[in-house]
Amino acid sequence: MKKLVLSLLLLCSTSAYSQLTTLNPDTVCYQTNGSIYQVTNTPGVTYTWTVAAPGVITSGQGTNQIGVNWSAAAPGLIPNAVSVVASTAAGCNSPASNLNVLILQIIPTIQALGPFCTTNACVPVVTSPAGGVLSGTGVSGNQFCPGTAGAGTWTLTYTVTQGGCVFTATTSVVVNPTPTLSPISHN
Amino acid sequence: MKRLLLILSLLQGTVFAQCNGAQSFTLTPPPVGNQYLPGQVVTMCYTMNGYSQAGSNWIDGFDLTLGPGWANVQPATAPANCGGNASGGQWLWLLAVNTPVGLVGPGYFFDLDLNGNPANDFGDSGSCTWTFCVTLTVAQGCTPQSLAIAVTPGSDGLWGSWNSTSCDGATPFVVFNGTINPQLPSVGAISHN
Repeated sequence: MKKLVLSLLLLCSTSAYSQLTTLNPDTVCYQTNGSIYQVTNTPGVTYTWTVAAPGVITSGQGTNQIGVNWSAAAPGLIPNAVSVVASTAAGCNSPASNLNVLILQIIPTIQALGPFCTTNACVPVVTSPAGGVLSGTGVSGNQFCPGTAGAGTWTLTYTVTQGGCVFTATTSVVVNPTPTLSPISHN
Repeated sequence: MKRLLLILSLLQGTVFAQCNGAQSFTLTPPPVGNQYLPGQVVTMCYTMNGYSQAGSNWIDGFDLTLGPGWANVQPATAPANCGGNASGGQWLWLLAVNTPVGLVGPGYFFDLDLNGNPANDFGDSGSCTWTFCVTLTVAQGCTPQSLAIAVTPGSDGLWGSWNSTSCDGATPFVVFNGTINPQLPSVGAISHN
């Protein structure tokens, strides 16, 4: 039992660290919070972090790991957005280690379409940027099929995923029912 | 007597530019990678085996030249009196001696007339093995400052009251030419989620 617990602890620990990467720049999703930055810890050393405004250090200053809130940052590349210097008790400093941060924002679009009748054929849905996924009632690939969707107002969603960030656009499509005629009566 | 020896040596054409015997040293503890750590205490022992006494010059002192990385130097063991106690004189640890050719020191200098001034008398007569030790302390700091150590033996014709220039070619003997290892911390690449 004791060995099992130890194994689980090791797995959890490995998993936590395996989520970190040294890729530069760090891609941060626009208007998100909760970025974590870390360097290898050396006992007896103090770490002084600097974060480019409007980034805000939310935790860990002085330690080897900090949390940063980038939610106020505009989209784009921030050179040397995160820097850290290690200092010994004797006051000797290391050279700074720097990391660029890319605040990533993508604005997907779906060109408006419709209204349709249920008898209309499938139509292509124009989206941008390429590479996203179109979903919703009546969607087949990159097409919207009114007949499949049926009468009603439907929401189409176009989802673009990049750098771990997810961006979406939606549009509503109206599909009108096909009028039905009674048989022609006559005298 | 000393003047007589000088005249004889000049007549023989025996003028030495270098009068020092074989020199050697020990550093305890030895450096690591040619470096010492801030605050580390090092004992340096220096030995000179023999002195040519050209022009009847006698050894008058051992001048230490230290790099700025050394914060402190203290005497540990003085050289033995080669002329013997009967001839008088003693080896003194002095931080500075005002010699005819300028200030020297710190180091060990021979004071024959026991007046505290090695510059106004003769040196330690004879050709012996002189050994002395000093204790050096590495400065605290974050830069790899020089920890150079050199010992310059000087004759009484140079630093004392003897009037022969036969041993004036005082050449520094380099004991150590390393630096402080400031042990700067290092940070690797920043990792992130």
